Amino acid sequence: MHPGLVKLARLRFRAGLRQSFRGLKTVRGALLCLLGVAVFITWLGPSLVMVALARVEPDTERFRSGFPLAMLGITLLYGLQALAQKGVSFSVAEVDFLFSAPLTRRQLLLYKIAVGMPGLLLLALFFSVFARGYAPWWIFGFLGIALAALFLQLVGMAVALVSQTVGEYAYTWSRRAALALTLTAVALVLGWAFSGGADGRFFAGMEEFRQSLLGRCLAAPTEPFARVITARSFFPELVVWGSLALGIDLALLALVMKLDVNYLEASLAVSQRVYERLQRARRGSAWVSSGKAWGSIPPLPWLGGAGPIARIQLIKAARSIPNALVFIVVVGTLMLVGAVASSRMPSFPLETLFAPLLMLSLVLGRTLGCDFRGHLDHMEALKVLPLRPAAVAAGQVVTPILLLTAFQLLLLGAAAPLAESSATLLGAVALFVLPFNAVLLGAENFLFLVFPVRMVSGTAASFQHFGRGIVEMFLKMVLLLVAAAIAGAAGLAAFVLSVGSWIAALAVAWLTLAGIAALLIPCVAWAFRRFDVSTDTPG
Amino acid sequence: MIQVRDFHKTYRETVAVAGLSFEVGPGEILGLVGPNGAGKTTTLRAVAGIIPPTRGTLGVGGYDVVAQPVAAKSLLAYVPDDPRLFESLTVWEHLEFVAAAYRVGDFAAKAETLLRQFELEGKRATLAQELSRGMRQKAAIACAYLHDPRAILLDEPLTGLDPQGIRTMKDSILRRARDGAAVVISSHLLALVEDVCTHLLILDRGKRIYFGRIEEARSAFAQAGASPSLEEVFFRAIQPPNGS
Repeated sequence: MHPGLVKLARLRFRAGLRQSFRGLKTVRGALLCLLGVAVFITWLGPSLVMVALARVEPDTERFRSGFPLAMLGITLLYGLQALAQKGVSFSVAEVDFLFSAPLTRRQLLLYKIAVGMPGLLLLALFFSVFARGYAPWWIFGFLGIALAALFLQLVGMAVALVSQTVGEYAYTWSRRAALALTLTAVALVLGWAFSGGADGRFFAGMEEFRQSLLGRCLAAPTEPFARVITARSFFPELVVWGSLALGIDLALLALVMKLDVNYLEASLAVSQRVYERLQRARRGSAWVSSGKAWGSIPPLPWLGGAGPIARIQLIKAARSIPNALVFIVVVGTLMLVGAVASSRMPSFPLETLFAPLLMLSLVLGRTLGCDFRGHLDHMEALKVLPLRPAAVAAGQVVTPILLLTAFQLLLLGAAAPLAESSATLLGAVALFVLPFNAVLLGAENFLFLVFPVRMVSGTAASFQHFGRGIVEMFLKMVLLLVAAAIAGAAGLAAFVLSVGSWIAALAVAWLTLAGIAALLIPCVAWAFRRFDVSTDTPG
Repeated sequence: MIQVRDFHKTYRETVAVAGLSFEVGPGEILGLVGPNGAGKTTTLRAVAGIIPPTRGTLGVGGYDVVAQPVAAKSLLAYVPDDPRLFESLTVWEHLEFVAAAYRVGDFAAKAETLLRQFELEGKRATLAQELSRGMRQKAAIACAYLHDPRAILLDEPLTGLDPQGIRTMKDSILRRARDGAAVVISSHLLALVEDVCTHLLILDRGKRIYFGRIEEARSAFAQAGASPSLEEVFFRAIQPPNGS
C-alpha cells in the first residue's frame, strides 16, 4: 500500500482511540466514559471468561446446518444493497483528499479494505461472544466470523464494481433480475420452512431444506465459514476449512483488484448521497424522503399554539412515512416471523412480542425526529415564538405519540390472528398503548432537553456517548417503571374497592397513566425553557 | 501547464460541458465564472482526475489525466468548494498525511510556514471537527500548498474567510502564480476574479462563452467605447444576443 495511505490509516486508528476516550477533560464526561467502559467490560469480560470455562458441549451441528443459509441470505442482501448503491462508498474527507491525490484506484481500494479491518475485528469480537454456544473454541469462532465479515465486505465491493462495468441498460436489467431472483429464493426457502418439518416447527422445516440438494448447493460457498467457526481441532479442521475460507476471500479480493474499474465518479456520487443522508439524520430528519415535497396536513386548531407546532411535526411525519413504513414492515415482519419460528406453528404467545415491540418503539420514537429531538437545530426559532413553553412542549410530543400508537396497534392487529392470547388481554394491551406512549415520549423529550445529544453522532462512537446512552436508558426505564407501578397500584386499589370489577381497575389505571403523561408536559416545558441554545446545543 | 481540449461531459441526456477547450500556462491565473450549473465544478473535477471525460483530453504538466493519472495528480492540488476534513484528525495530522501522500520529504518547516501564513499556528493540535468554516478552508488550502503544486485548482476559495483571511488567500494565490504555478479559480465573486486573475473563462450551460485575457474581455464586451467592469462583461456575455 502507498506510504501516504499507510500513514493515514495509522493516524485514523490513533484518532479513533482518541475519540473513544474523548470527554475525559470534564468530570461529567469522565464519569460517563468510566460508566461506558465499565458496562462494556462487565458485558464482554464475563462472556469471554465463560467461554473459556464453559464445559457445555457446543451445538456445532445445528450451527453448521443453519449458518450457511443465513449467511447466504445476508450475502444476497449485501449484493442487492451494493447494486442499488452502484458504487464504493468513501467518506467525504477521503473523497476530497484522496481522489485528487497521486494514488492509483487499486491503492485506494486496498486502503478502503484496510481501514475497515479494525471495525470488522470488533464486529467479529462482538458476535463471537454470541456464537459461544456453537463454537468449541472461541478463537476459532472469532476467526471464522472475521473471515465471513470480510467476505461480505468484498462481495459488496465486487458487486458495486461489476455494476459499473456493465452498461446502463444491462445494469437496470440485471438489478431487476437479481432482485426478482433473490425474492423468489427467499420466498421458496421460507415457504419450505413454514410448511413445517417432521414436527411442524420452523427450524425443522429449515433443516429439511438445508439437507435437500438445492439447499446443499446454495449453501456451499458459505459452508467453509461455518466450519471454521465450529472447528473442533487446529488440524485438520481449522487448517483445511480456514484455508478454504481464506481462499474464497482472496479470490474475491483478486477479482476486485483485477476489475480496476474507474469507479471514482460513481464513488463521488455515492459518498455524497451517504454524507447527505448522515447530515439529515444528524438534523433529525433521517426518514424524510428526498426530492419533491409531497403530502400536507390541513391547519389544526390553535390550542394555545400547540396546534401549529403539532402540524409542522405531522407534515414532517407525513414525508417520513414512506421510508419509515419500509422499516416498519420489514422489522414488523421479522418480529412476527421470529415469534412464529421460535414456537410451535402456526401460533405463538402474544407476550413474546412485548419486548421487541418496546425496543422497536424506542428506536422508532428516537429516529422519527418528530419531536424536540428532530428540532435541535431549530431551538432558536422555537424559542423566539410568542408561545407558552407548555404549548410548544405539547405540540412537539403529540405527533410521535400518535404515530407510535398507530404503528403498535397495526402490529398487534396483524399479530392477533396468530397469537395464542385471549381477546381480553389483546384489548387491554391495545387500550394502554396510548397512555404508555405518552409517558414514554414525555420522558424521552424531558431527558433529551436536560441532557441534549445528537441522535446520530458525526464522529466515531465514544465510551462517553455509550455511557450517556446507558444512563439515559436507565433513567427512562426507572421513569416508566414508576409510572407503571403507580398506575398498577391505583388500578389494584380500584379493583379492591369495587369488589372485583376489572373494568373499574382498568379505567382507573388508564386514567392514572394518562394523568402522569399530562404531568410530564410541564416538566418538558420547564426543560425547554431552561435549554440554553448557546451552551446546550451539541456539536 | 493545464491543457483542456474538446472536453465533453454528459450524464445520460444532460450535457454538463460541451466541447470546452482552454489552456493555463505557468504564472497565469484563470478565473472560471458562470451561472449555477454552467459546468465549472465538473470541469475542475475532471482536470483533477476525479471524474472521467465523456470525450476530449485533459492534461496537467504534459501528462494525460486519464492515461497517466498518478503523474498528473502529483503536480496538482485541488481544493473543492466546502472542503471536508477528517473530523477526528488534527490540523497537523492532516499536513503529516498530505506530506506522506505526495512524498514531501522534510515537510515540517514548510508546514510551519504555511500554518503561520494562514494564521493556524494556534490550531495545529485542534481537531478538524472543532474548526470554524473559515479555519477549515485555510487548513485545506495549507494542505494543498504543502507539496508546491505546479497546477492549482480552487473552487470558491474565499467562502467563510474573514477580511484578513481573504487578503492572505489573495496574496498567496498571487505569490504561487509568481513562482510559476498555473492557477484556476472558480468563483461567483467577480471582484476576486478582477483582483487576481490574468485570464477569464466564462461558461454558460456547459459551453464556452469567452476565453482570453481579462483586458481583452473588457474590449470585447465594451459598449460605446467605455471600458466595462467585469460584472458588466459577465452579464453581457451570458445574455442572449437579443437581450431577452
